[in-house]
Amino acid sequence: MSKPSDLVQGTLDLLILKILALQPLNGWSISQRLRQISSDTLQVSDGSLYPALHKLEHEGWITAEWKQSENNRRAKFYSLSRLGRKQLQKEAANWNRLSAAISHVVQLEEL
Amino acid sequence: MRPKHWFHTLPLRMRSIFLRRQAERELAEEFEYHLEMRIRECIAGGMTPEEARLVALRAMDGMEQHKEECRDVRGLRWIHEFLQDLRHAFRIWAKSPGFTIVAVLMLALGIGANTAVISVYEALVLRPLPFGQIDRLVEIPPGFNYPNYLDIRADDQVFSDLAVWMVLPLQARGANSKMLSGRAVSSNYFQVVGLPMTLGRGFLTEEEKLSGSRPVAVISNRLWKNGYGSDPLVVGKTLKLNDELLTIVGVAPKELRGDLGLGGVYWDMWVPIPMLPRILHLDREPMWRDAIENRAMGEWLWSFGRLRPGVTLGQARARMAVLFANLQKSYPGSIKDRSKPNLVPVSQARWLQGNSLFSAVILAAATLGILFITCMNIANLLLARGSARQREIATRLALGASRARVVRQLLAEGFALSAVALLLSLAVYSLTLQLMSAFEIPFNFSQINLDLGFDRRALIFAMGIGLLTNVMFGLAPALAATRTGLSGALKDQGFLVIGFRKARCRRLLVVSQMILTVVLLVGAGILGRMVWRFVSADPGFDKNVLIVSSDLPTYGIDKAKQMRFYRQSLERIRRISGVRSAAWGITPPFDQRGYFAENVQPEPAAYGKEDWFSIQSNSVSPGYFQTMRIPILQGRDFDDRDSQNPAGMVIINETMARRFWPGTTPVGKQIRVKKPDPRENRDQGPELCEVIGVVKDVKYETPWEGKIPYIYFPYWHKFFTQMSLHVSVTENPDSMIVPIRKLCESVDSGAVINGGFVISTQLESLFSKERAAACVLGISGLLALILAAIGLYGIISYSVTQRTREFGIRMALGARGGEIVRQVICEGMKMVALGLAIGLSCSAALSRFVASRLHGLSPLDPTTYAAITIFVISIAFLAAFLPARRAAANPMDALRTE
Repeated sequence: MSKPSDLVQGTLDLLILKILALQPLNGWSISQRLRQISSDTLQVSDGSLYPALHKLEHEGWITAEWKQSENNRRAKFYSLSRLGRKQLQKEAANWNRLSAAISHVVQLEEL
Repeated sequence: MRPKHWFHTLPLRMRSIFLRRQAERELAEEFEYHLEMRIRECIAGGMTPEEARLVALRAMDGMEQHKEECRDVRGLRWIHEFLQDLRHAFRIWAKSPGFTIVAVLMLALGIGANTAVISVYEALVLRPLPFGQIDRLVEIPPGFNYPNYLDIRADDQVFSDLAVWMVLPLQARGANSKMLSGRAVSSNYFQVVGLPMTLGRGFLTEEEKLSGSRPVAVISNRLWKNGYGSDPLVVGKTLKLNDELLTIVGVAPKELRGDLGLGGVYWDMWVPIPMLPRILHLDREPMWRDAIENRAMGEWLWSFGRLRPGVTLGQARARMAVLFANLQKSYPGSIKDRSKPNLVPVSQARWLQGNSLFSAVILAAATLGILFITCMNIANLLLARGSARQREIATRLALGASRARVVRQLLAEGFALSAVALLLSLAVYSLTLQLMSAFEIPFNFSQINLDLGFDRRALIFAMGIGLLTNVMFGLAPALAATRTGLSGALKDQGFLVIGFRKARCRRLLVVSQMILTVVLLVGAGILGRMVWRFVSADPGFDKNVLIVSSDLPTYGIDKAKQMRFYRQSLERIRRISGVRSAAWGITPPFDQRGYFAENVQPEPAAYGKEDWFSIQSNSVSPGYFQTMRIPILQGRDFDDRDSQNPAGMVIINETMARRFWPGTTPVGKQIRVKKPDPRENRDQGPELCEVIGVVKDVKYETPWEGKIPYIYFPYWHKFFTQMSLHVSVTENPDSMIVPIRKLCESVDSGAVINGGFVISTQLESLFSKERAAACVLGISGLLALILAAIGLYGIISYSVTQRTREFGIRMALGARGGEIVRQVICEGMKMVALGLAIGLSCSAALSRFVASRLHGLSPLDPTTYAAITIFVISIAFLAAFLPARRAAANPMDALRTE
């Protein structure tokens, strides 16, 4: 599975889970939200979002449901499951630990 | 990728398998929605719809690849592909229904028959013997009389328990004159068997006491079911055996059907040995009264026992040797001197070496052979199809399919075939089982029938075979078909190169089929020829004589009454219309129950006083030789008036005359017949008999026996309660059986009249196994030949098609059609010759194993080998000739096909 090159491995999953923790969204809205909240820093190609979503769905972390979208079209909405919430906490904690460590290392170098 | 939370995602997974189309639709819809939203956004930004669509697609970064990634996430791609392949396979097979049906039927027969054979083998050989803790059980082949047994049992050093049974089966009439068979056993028999009784108990030690013990019996599970309707209160009821009423004390364990030695014999009841004289009415005869207590009674008991814990077989043997020696010392002559007693662990069952194994092996060889040939033929056909589909496969490979993927698809085609065949084979299997269960092997008094069930192991075996065949006939063609280079196969010329390599493989198949065919046919031929030779041979008497057996159990040993019955019935039977003549005899020809022999000495003794000769004998009524059409060479037949004459008389056969009175006439000479007295363990003094006639030699026991001296006594001299009526009839023998039986029963209602068969059928039944084997081998051999012929036809036909252009050019250059046809046939016959040569040598090597069953016929019988060679060659020639004719088609047509 090809990953978006400018994203750290595994972070796309974390981002998706975080976004879905706020509210259930469809694929299009997720991609829009990603762009918004990262102020265009994180670029995910439209196509590569979906394999990631499907993977999360098969892991049981998110569930999918067909619903009416805001423009009255049928769309597949993803929402976080109970398992997904746990996973989010775990991954967020991991991320914090990791990023803290990395930025510490980076600052060390500058001294 | 292994899902961690499989339970939560299970519905999702099920959906992607079973609602695949819906999943696909939703996948497409999801991407489409995204695309549309992006397009809208772009249009809103001022692009034209066309531009917008292009930008949106570019942003997708390869939509189809991403869709494929989504499908991969499901992790079930191989299942989809497999199902797809299966669907494809079924479509392909449906396109050539003829081939498919033949292939499936061949496979189903092969798998089904093999599974059935495995079941038979399991029932005969693998099924555990009906004993608890079998590893501690040993048997001691016949070796005891009753008092000796009691002495040995009293020694408790090696055996924790030692039981015996009487070697001869016990036969007695039950209620409604039904014959019941069983065993006379020691009281501890059921303890040694070591399995829980179905109901009640085994025998008690006090029921073994000789006098005054209560008459008791244990009935078999089968008799309990069939005769007592599985009555739970059967214990305490009575069992009638020859006028004696016995109390049923128990129902035997259901696993115990017969003895350990006879896998399929069913007994009806067991009684303690001391019951014997009362049931058989032996107690009225002084000679037998004390037989059970007699140490001179020979060795009539078979024993088996449980070794004490820790005692080895060697220790047991050593101890037995000591005990035997002691007995020998205390009672000389009461036991044979055995320095090495023959103790055999029961688990090494001796019937492994018996006839059942012979049949099972023959059957297995034949069916495995058929299955093998079937697989080879299907492989062959698939190879041929593979080359026909060369271009299709090459195209697939060129379009990017991996070799593994194409092989998988071709394997799926094979799998589809064997899956259908496997289902069908279950039907074949249960049908074969039914046939085999219905087939009862006659065994002396009882019937051996196999307890065959549809068992799980056989089912697993069938599936195993099914998969194996799939690999056998599927894998090789699949690999071969995908091996070729792309360019070669796409271009037409490549065809010839591939064809050549494949043809070698197919030639090998035909040769090996020929070998198998020849081996099977030779086996069938030799056995068949042996059977035919002996069945058609002249045994020296009239084979159309009808035999009816009679049993007079209620008479006990009242000789006068018995003689009256024999005389009266004979007189009346001779008056029935359609009866030419009739006579009594003890042993009918080709009877398998054993023979009487007498110790005799010719007078005047040209030999030492102690030289006794054991000569086979029969007891016959006057008229026997006339009925059997055995010519009297010298002297005369017995006459009823002779019975008043106290002097003994005998008739002897030629061989006996030549052996004891060479060069002189034996009529009028005397012979001495030893009269044993079992009570005293010494002779009463020999009896003198005068030779009154000499008759021609006949074959009595088997049609292959040599010249054996034989003595006939008049039936008033020696007879039994069981005699056989020999009737020479002028009408259809089958229609005479009932009148004869009725007539005997009207003379005395107590007589049990059994059977009724013509001697020739008895003769044929001697060969029932060999005939069955010959049939199985013959049928499978013919099948193999047909299959091999089809294979040969296929090869020649294929090669003719491949070389159409070559033949066309050669004929255009002046070759004659006949020559080309001859050349093509020659190529085919080379394979046949090779197969024949190897097959015949294999047969010659293998036939040693049946040599012991051929009774003098050479296992290298030239007639059989020659006949089979000619037969195989002519069939093969036909198979090669038919397609070869096409080689000589019009050369212009041949060239134009290119």
